[in-house]
Amino acid sequence: MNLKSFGRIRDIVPQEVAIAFPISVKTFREKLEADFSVLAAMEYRIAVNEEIISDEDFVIEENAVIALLPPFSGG
Amino acid sequence: MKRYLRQTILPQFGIEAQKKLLAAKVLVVGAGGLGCPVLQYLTAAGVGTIGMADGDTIDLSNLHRQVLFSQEDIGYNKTIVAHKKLLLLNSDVQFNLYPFDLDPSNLFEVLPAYDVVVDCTDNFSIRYLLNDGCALLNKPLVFASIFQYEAQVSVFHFGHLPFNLRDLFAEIPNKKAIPNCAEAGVLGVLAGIAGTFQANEVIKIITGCGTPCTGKLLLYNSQENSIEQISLTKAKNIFIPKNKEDILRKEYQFSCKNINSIYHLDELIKVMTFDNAALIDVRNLTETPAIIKFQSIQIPLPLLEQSLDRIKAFNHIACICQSGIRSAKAIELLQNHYPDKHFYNVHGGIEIFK
Repeated sequence: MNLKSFGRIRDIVPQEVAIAFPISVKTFREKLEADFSVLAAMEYRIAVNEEIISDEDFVIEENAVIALLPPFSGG
Repeated sequence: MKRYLRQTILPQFGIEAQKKLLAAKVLVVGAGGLGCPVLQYLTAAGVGTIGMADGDTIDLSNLHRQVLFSQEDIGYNKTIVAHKKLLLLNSDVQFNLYPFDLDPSNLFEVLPAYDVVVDCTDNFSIRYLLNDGCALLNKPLVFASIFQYEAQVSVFHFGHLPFNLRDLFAEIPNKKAIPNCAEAGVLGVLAGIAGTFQANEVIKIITGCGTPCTGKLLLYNSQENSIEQISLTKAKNIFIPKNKEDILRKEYQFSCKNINSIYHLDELIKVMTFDNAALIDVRNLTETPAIIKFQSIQIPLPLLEQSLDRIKAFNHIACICQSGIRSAKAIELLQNHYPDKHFYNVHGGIEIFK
């Protein structure tokens, strides 16, 4: 799988996680947060193949590139 | 226009693009890590009018990334120092200084005059306020944020399909989620890279030369030199202000953002030129020396709470005492009564006149 984490999530979620595809964004999120409980308190968007996904029912296919994008505000 | 020759000879740029820059008015909010390179490069490029807003003073720990400033500038307001330095680079630019932080009470006095707004701030309260103000007034907003070795850049409220910061994150993220540079750390060059990306976006927006980063979130990582552009999608039911009142009613979680410290006489002089500014001397009536340089209103601290009607007409209120301690208390008291006014504590008190 191709999972990229940004911001603080880099230190929380590794590049490989044990999740089978296809899977809906909603379920993917739930599984991630079950495995990494710190994530549950954080806000982040999920991008699949370089597009932010709004629809939680969207199905992520095998070999998709997934990105976890938290907000940060440094300047 | 010999100064701009190297860019006007560029294919697709030309004198036409330069004329657009010269006529443009850009507001840079924040003169820190992102603001310094933005200000330097927009000044160099010949943007005709540049406004800069920042209530902060320069600290030693800023100098690893805020490369417009020098060691001897520590303690001075960022916009005032930036102004002096930028004039040396390009004295043709018209600079407008706002040596205070923007907030709901002053945003609409500043924003309307500009064509493009650059978010170089470091907290979500002002970022969301700028976003909503630009949404309402239809001004392109060049956003960037940095964290450790990463940057995010995007252009909001511009183009055929304008996007909004709230399409990305609908509401202000909870405070636990967002470290700032002081807590998380940041590499100096990262601020420079991200800010220069912003300056580039401003130039593309104004000149029409190149493709501004609208509808996309640019993600840069300085350790890996990776750049990705993630497509944004429109979110449903986000807050869209229909008028100023919608914004004035919205909660942006500002706290003590409109209290500034004044360290030097020029800063006090500047504040006293604002509309409806007053200097309140909270020392006892017998204390010396008297303040001659400005007309001050003498209200000893113990009598302050009963004397509010002598102050309420003013919007920018500087307080002074012997050493800066009583004046700080005075400001705390006044802010409780008037949370939307702007307060300036004369740090170090009466010494400022020496």
